[in-house]
Amino acid sequence: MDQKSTIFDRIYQVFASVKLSLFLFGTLAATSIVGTLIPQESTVEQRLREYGPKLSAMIELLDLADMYHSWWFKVLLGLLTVNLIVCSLRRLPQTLTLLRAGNQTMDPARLEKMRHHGRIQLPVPLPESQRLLAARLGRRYSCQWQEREGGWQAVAEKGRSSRLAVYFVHLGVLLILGGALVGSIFGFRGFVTIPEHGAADRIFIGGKQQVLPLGFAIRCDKFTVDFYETGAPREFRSDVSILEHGDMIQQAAILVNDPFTYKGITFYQATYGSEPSNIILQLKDLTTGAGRRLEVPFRETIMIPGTKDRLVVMDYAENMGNHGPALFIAAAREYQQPASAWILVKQPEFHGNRIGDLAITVESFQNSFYTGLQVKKDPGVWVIYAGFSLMLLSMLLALYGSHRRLWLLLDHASGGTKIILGGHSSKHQAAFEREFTTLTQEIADLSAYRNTHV
Amino acid sequence: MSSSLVLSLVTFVYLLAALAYGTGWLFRRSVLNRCATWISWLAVGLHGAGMLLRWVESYRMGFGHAPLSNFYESLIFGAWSVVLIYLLMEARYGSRELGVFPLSLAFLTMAYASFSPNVESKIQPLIPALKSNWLIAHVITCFLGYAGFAVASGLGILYLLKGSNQQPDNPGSDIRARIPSIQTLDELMYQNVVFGFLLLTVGIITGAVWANSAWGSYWSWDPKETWSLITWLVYALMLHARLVRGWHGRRIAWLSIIGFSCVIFTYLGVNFLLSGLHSYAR
Repeated sequence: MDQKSTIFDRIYQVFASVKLSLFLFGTLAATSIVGTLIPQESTVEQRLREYGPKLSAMIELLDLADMYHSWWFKVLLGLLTVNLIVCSLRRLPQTLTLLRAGNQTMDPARLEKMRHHGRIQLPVPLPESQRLLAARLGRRYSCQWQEREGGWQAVAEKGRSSRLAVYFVHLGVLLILGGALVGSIFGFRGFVTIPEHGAADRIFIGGKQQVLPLGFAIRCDKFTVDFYETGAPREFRSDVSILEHGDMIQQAAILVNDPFTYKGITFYQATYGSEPSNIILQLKDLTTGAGRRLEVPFRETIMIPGTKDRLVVMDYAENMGNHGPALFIAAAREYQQPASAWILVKQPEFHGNRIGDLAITVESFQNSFYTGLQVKKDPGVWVIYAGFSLMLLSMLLALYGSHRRLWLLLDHASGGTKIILGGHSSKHQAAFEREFTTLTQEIADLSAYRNTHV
Repeated sequence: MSSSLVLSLVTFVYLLAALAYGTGWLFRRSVLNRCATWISWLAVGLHGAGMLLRWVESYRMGFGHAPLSNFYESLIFGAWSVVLIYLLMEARYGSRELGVFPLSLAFLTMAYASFSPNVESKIQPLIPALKSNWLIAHVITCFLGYAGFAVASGLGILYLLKGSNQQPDNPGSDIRARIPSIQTLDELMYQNVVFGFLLLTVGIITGAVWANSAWGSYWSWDPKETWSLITWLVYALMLHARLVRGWHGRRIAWLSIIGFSCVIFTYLGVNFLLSGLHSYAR
């Protein structure tokens, strides 16, 4: 039992030490460099080519190609989190004691040993000195006055919160880390492309690996892109509608830097492109001479009516080898091997406009935009933003604030009042020195104030 | 008068100020040092006017935006920030011996921005991703923070220069004797790092909020972000070491130099050295 508690104690001591924090700051900083030198999310082949087999094996072992999500990096972050919590919990009681301290009985010797101290003789009777001082100090400090034998004593202080601020900075950091965790557990990131006038009710997660139904549909009513005179893009804009069970619920515009959120799912304008639509083909069987006019969708396999032949427009090129636009069409005809060809739109007489003995001419098609939207759900974002705000505000207080305290002893003296005061500041000694000197002068001048104004 | 003309002119005013600070320091002429201060304030004023003029010009071109959007504009704003932070510190603490460092840095930065063929100084319209008020807050806070770190690292170098020779004999003839006391250097170093750290924190946060509204991700570990975090960690280490473990002097001086090297790498190194490796480096 004894042995156990010592081990526990030792572990606790390690986590309660700021040395560990310094070590972790340094280690996190140093290891983070590695991930900026090795491209993240590269493929195994790319790494083998770039680094050779030995170095690649090491990269695999330590997960250096995705190092910010590797087990050991998470362990480092976890250690920092535990360290931060244990350190804060251990120091908090000491801080609270410090805040409570100072109200014990004072003696002149103790005050005069302080770094900032002074002795003032006021030619004013004790009760009136006390009143004047209380009024003067009360403007800038919160004071506690206490009557004691033969006089008064007071503690005046300000900036108490600056001593606690550091704990709120740490709480802010914890909120940020917690928010990131919430996001990684309950959130997702995906992508969807929607043609103009088309709608989507599912998105792709992780590079088309996984399909996620949205629970509603989003329709792209219009996509617009406009350009500066220089040719650089000025604005991308998708006008969308939200549909539930076929009913239009809401309309919105999605622009870069101006996303749109519906039911906790946020859509970001990410990319755009164009693709053919309303494609009308003329087919002619060169063997039988049978002809047919047909409207086909883009990238969707259809049966040619009245036959067992299948056909799909697989791709589109804006300018095929300087012969203008072209469609890449594949056909699988009954009793024949599937085959494919690029069909030139502007040159219907071109002899290559055929798949086997099926001649194809493109009568017409339209080019229409599609919009590419990044889709995200992250319930942790607001936790993170709360952490940001808390961290910033309390950091300001922790680094620029200081807890300043004055102790005063007022005693009756012949012809007036004897005042002994001591001062202490948790930080910014030079600034406090100036404040203390000014204050001492002000107190000494209080009698003049009384003579002229009272 | 065009803004680029004003800004090129300012470059030489900085050179003049740096020379005045330098000779005032070397030959112990406080008159020169006082002149240097005035020249520097003049330069900062002109420089600010130049940036405002550039802002106005962008509106005249029909796509107005704050002059904080490309590499050239960031260099210009960075140089301005360094001198401004230095002058505010000088006004508060009254020691003019350090001026030659920030003013030389400002001169070199401005000269590089104005005259290097690699830096595009034309006013360009903003691409959609850059149209955000968060971007403006992000750039301003980051560069003010960087400026604080720059001044702190200059003080760190002075500290090490001063500290490496502690012989008490013939103090007057040694140039090091004219460096402020090591206590002052230590205190000023700390003050500048605290300022820089706060501003860098705001800078990283505003950057994260901007990225979240533009791309739907507040943090994506791209090299720029990662290096800004590395920088933040180095200064966090320094502040904890000083405030809790009582580190002072040489160690803090070294850390402020290491920290500023990280700043330089975040700003320049990532763009010039890592861009080939990362398709997503901006």
